[in-house]
Amino acid sequence: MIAVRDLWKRYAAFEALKGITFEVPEGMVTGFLGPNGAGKTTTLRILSGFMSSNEGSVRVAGYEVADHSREVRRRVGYLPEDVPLYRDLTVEGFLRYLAGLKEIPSRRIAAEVDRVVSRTGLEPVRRRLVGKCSRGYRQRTGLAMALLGDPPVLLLDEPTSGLDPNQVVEVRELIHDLSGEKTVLLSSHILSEVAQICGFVLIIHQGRMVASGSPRELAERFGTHTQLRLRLGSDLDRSLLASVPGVTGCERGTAPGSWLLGVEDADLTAVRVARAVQQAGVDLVELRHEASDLESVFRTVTRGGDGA
Amino acid sequence: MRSLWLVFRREFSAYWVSPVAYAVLAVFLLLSGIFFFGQLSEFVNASTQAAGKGVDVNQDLIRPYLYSVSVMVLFLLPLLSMRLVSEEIRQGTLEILLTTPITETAVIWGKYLASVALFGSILLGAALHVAILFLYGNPEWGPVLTGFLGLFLTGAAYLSIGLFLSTVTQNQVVAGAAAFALFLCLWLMAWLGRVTSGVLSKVLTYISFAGHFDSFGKGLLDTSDLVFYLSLILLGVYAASQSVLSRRWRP
Repeated sequence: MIAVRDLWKRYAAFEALKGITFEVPEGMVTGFLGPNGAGKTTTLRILSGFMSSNEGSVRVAGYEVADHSREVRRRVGYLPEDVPLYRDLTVEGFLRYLAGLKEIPSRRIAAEVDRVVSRTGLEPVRRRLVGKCSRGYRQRTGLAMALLGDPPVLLLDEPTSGLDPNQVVEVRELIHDLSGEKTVLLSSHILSEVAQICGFVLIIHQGRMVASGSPRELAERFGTHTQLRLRLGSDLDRSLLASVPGVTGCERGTAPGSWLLGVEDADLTAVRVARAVQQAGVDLVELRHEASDLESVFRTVTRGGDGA
Repeated sequence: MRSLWLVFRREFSAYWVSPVAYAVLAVFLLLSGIFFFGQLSEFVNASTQAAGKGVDVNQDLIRPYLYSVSVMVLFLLPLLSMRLVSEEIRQGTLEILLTTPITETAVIWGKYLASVALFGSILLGAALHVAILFLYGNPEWGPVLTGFLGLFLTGAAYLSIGLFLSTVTQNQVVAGAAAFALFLCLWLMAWLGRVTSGVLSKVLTYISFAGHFDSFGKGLLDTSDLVFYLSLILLGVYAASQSVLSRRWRP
């Protein structure tokens, strides 16, 4: 649905994108991760047809963006960063205006606006001025705008930024519901968010693609097995810890009684380790996860001056 | 075409939702009312003294009145053009506008025509004053109509330049101030044309708004004046849409 090949974007002397290549699988929510300034917004702006690229090929919904920008724009729902909206219009007035611009026939506009309003839970504020709505409702208005006309591709630039925790959960659920139905590319710098709602992850750093795959694949490929850090009240035989099912590696830490275990299924193995330690009659002082999978992948691939 | 109409409708109603239209209309009616009253009083005095001989309502009242209106729009039109695109750039809404299937040309023409339509509504105020003269006297129709046409074209040309200026900055005040300065320069070219000589004088006189407007006021409908205004309008609108298009290359 989205295929990008060797994409370059330069702003004067600054190279924002340095030849990135990736594909976004159809009918899935794909996470587009990267630190601030990595080139996420630039990429989404090019995919949405808002901005031109310098080099490379970008195909969205079967069309080359550079040659058929309008065809692409007809098939893409785009939520820009910071959700710019017309604050002097009501939520409904805004959606009606955008529905018209998105070439929805006049007689279908009312029904289409009703559909996106109910889908995004905007009913309570539909007659309120956009400028008077809370941040959460404005964000939903932006999402409703992206959904107008039922486009097969959705590009969402940081859709949960600036929301309170309850609103974040609501917006994530809404996006999660779209998987299977639409091809969604969602940019974020929040790892847990991507891990929760995305089936596929792209990681970009300093204008380069540094990793892509499912969250599990990435964790495996970068060899960052989850680690358990363990501190015990007294010493323990190494073989006892190594024999617990799920433990793949076992090292002594620097402090007395501390251990670092490489494990497969972190939660299950943690319970088993705790039980084994207890059965051996040793006090368990501390047991914790070192890092979540995606987080360590992210840190590994985006570390240093050149993340590739 | 439909999206052009949608942008037009949105922009025209935005003028009336915000205080812009009312403020400009109120200021215009107040100032043009003062001008009209002053010029009418002078005309009546002159007419009484000359016992109606040698004074002409078209020549001595309507023409100077329309001339003062044309100076007034110089000050008021930057207020109509300055926010047209700069506001969209500042709010970031240009991004949502340009990621719908609409073309830059439709966006720009929609916005431009909305500002011209508002200017047209403002001119109706001036038409009201002149209509009073038709109630009590018998002015010639021709020069009145060409005068208003000249006024309308002058304003429309100003607006196209103002529109272009509002595409180059996200700051409304900068766009407005630049428009005002440029309008004033274009107006003053005739004066510079008189104090220079040779080709320079001809060029300055040609690009001056005052000179072209003057022949409309005299009741002359000259093709070269029409061409001047229409080409300026097309140039301004074209430059504005190219400027918006060029934003696709900028961060």
